[in-house]
Amino acid sequence: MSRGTRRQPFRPWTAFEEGRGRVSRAKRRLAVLASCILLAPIFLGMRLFNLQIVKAEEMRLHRTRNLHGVEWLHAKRGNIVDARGHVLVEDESQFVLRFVYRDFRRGHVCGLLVHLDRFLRELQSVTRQATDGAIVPDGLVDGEPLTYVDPVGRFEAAALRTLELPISLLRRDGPLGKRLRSVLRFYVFHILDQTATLRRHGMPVARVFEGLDGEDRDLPVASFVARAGGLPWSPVEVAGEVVARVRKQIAALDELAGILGPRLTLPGSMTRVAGKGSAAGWVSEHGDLFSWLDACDRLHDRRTEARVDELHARQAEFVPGFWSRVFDACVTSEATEDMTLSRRLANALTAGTRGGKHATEFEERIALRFRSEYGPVVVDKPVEFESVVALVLGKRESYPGFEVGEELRRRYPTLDPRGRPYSILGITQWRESVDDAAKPTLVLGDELDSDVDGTKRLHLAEDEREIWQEEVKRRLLSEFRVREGLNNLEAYLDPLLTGQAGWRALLRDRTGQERFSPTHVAARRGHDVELTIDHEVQDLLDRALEEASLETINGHSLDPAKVKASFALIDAVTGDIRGMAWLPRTWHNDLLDIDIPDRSNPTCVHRWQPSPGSVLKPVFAVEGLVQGFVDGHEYEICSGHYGSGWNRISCDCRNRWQPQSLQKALRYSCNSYFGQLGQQLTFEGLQRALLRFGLLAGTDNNIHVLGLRIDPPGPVPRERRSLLQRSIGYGWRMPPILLARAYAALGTGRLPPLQIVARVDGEAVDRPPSTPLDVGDDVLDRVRRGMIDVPLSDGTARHAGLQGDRVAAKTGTAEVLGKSANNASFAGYLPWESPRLAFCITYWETPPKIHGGDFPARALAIFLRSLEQRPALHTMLFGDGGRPR
Amino acid sequence: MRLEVESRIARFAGVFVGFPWYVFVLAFVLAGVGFVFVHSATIGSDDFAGQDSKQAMAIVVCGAIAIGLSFVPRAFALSNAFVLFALVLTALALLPWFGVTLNGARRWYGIGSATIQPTEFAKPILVLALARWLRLKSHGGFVDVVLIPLILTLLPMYLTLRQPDLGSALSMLPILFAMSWVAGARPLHLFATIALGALGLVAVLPFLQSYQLERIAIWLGQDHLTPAEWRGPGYQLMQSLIAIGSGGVSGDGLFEGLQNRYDFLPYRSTDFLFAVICEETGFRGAMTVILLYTFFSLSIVACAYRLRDRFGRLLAAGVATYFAAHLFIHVGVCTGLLPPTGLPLPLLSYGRSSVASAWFALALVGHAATAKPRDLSEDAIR
Repeated sequence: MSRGTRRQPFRPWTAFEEGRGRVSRAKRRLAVLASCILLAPIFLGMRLFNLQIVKAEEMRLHRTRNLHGVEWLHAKRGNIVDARGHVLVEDESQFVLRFVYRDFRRGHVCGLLVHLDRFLRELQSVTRQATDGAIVPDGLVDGEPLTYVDPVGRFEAAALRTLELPISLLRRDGPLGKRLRSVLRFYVFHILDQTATLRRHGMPVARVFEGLDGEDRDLPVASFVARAGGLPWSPVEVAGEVVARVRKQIAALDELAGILGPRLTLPGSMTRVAGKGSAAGWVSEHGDLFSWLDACDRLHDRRTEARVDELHARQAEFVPGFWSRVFDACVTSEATEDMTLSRRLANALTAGTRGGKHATEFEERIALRFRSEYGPVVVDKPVEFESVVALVLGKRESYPGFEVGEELRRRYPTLDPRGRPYSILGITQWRESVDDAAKPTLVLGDELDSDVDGTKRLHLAEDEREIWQEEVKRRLLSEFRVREGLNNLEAYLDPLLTGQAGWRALLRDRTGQERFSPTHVAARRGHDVELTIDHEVQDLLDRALEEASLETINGHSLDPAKVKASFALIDAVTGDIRGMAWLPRTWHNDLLDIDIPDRSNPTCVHRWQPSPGSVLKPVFAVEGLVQGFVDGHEYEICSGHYGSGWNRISCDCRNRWQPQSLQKALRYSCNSYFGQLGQQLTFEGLQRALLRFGLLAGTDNNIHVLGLRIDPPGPVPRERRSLLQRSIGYGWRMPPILLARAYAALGTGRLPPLQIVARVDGEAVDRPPSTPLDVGDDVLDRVRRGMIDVPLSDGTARHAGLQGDRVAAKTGTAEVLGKSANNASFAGYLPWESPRLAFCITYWETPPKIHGGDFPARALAIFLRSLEQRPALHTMLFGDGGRPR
Repeated sequence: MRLEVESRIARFAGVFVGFPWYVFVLAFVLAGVGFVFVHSATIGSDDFAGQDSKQAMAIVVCGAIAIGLSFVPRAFALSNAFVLFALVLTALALLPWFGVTLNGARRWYGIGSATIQPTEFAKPILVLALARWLRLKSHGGFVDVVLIPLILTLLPMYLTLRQPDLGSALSMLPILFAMSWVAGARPLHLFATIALGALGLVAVLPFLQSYQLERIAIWLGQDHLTPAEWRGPGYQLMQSLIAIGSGGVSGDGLFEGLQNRYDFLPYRSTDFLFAVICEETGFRGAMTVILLYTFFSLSIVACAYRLRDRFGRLLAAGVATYFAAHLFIHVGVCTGLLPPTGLPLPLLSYGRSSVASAWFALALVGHAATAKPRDLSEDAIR
């Protein structure tokens, strides 16, 4: 060391401090590290920007769908009552017992044992095939597979076998792969949890299982449980407790099964009945609750198998081998051209089989069955509150998976004489969704926009409110089930009866449980409708038709099983429909061997062969009188036929070879006379006549009467008829109800408006005025005189037994089906001096030589005789002074 | 007398010279933020009842202990680094036999009613062990600076993967690379190691469990999930994305997050706490938390920057990376940037082990910053 150099003190720690250059290098590296750390908020910020700014609305929509639910509040449908207030049909709430398969399988010891038994058998079979040795010890699963219908002893044995399982199967280092092991642990865990009641002793099963891996591998489950936690139990005591609880849970199911009875429809048991023809017949099996559970389980398995097959079929499209699949995913193929690269890679990763120690197709099947979600399945309905509902709700812990719900159904307090609902009412059906875009306005109204407070309570920001409204509408529409009428009154009065469903907004959590209902719109019940029909009058009409057809008249009789008839009865002054009866009331399905109600109403619709025949003659007679074609005109004597060639008609009236008059022509229904009248009227005149009496529709549209739809009357389409034939009632088709109305006009001089609905919610329905015929009373009198003679001693209805009934009527007999059958009609009004009732009775397609004066007229006579024995009805129909006799 | 008092005060104050107060203040701020959101995540929930109070207690106790541990003599730290490392490896190794199984994983030891997760402590102790190894390797080559630290890291990684706990295992890798880098590893060596590691991860794909592959598949296809995937394996990810996205710019408001309150977010006080933050405070609040956390990590880097000894610098760098890596992985998982793997966010998420290990890591920073020259001289002698 030279003189003048200052000695630097030794600072040993500086040996670990780099020199100036090295410190700089270290700091540079720290700066690089800091830069890398700074990249994190940049990447994360970009991702957050994408999620919270760009995709915010989309995510809020998802949240709305998560959180905000809506529930329909179905409205009760209105009642239909008859003219004297008897309720014909009404809505009532019924209780329904539903079943959630997944909850039962996970919560009830029977479900757990059945599935564990199946799992162990399959595991044994699969592992035997794969490894030449079963993992499940022999003897644990022998005999037949356990089913729900097995006796209690088998369940107890299954529970005991569960306790004999070696815990090696449940351990992480055991022979089972993770997925299979977790399924097995689930079953064993829950069986013990349900039955061993360890929780009662302060030792939850979860804590017991924590010590699993520290135990001897071959220890059976019972011994393991007995030793866990240091509780002073023996394996025998554990087994005893388990068996006792199994017995108790099965006894609870037995109790429910006893109440429900043996007639539950088994799910998935509907089969086609082999038989003739193309009509399909389907029948279901029935059984008790245990059979029902078995059927549910089998159906579940079938669906799971189908899904596994589908899954494997999809996987088969991929080339086997992990890397081959990944490389193929990087290349677009025809099957995957719509998928993004990330999705294709995702499919490639999960396709095929991997993992686990045993056959993974088995794992797939088990996992699928295990994960299967099942919506509620209806067990039975209606169920009684006092028994089923009280039991299930009162002891929920004994019936996991069973839940009680409410549904609305139609109930028929008043039935026809055969114990069935009246066919005129029709039936309803539930429809799944509403497609009509106009429905949201109709159904939802302005509630969504007006309920500002309610939507505030939904925790919605301003911009989310619109999203929520759209979501409510979408979900309400997609989930909407509306009950609508399918036919007859239920269909035609649907807008009145349906009511307006309400809805509730609700906030629900992850489990679907409702936490809060901030807003709701109450359901509005449908309107009650009072008919003009009295059900007892309807019964009398039905009986009259049947009894008449059972008689032998003029040596003729009808086969009751094949009778087609209708009886329309209206109030001649007001147009109120007093009854519409028809035969057949049912039709027999040979395949199913059941009678099905026949709801097609032939008094209003064109159902069978047309052509009313001579019942139109009084109508044409009025027109002839008005046009002046009757008086002062010479009519040829009836010789049994008239006309020539194609334009020729025959006549077998009793006025043959006698001088003609309108009255005689009506009395004897002379075709010759009316053929000549028709020629004078021409086709336009005939149409004019029909139009005057409402028997010719202005257009082809149906005639709408509130509650009814009547087919339009008029010429039979594509049927060629001569003028002569048309003038005697051929070539036309008229619903009998319109003929009854035409005869009411003949009797009163005014065409009344038809009406079947008298009141809605007690308020009388507006009634349009009747239409005057604009014909003189003398014209109607002259026609009436002819019609009065019809049921009398030499009229065409002389054999009907109506001599004292003051009926003015006309028979009609039209040859149809190539003259192999007749349409036999009888139409008129009574009492003739001041008509109160008008009617039209038709027997369709009867054997030949049966005329309108036979069964149809006879049906009226039977009806009138029955009516006389019911003074209240008689007064209602005729008033106090209007007795027909 | 007065001089004596003054000298005592000065001596006392001198103890705290260099103590990184700003780091600890930021840590307490973050812990306070975490407490608020843990409270929000657990309001009215029976399953999570009491977590907020336990969290508060843990923050206070562990914070105080961490400050105390900061003044442990350097010699003590150096001599016990590998001992602690061995202890934590042993604890991880014995989990299969003595651990407690929760939610299908065996990651905890039960101590009375509490549980302790050794993996959480493995991370800061790994930082300590790596710093101990690397402090004398300023001239080391690939073996000393990369390979051996890699082996040291793979040990706890493997034991963690066995539990299984993929997230915690992966979070150890950034610590390794950062500390090797700061220790002077050549860039080529590091990149080659990272590339080999990535290839190794890809090569191991076919051998992953089906549920792990399913998670990766869900992550890859998260924009096109089927309804069944949405309800099943993709549930956690999708609910997290919904919660985050629904927050929008300004969020629903504190304690008003709907996904949170109605139980749609799983593990919302731990693995998905950031989703709660996003939903309730929106983009503004989320970025504030991220920036605050990043600033916190950078403050530790700044602390490392001014340190003059390798061991202290390596400790601080490792701890900074520990926090930054957790931030990236936790937020990345919540936002779908990374495949789903449960990883709590230190200082914010609930978890007494997580809180304790985070404060232990901060104690390492405090220790690094407060080491006295005489401590360093003793170190120099060895």
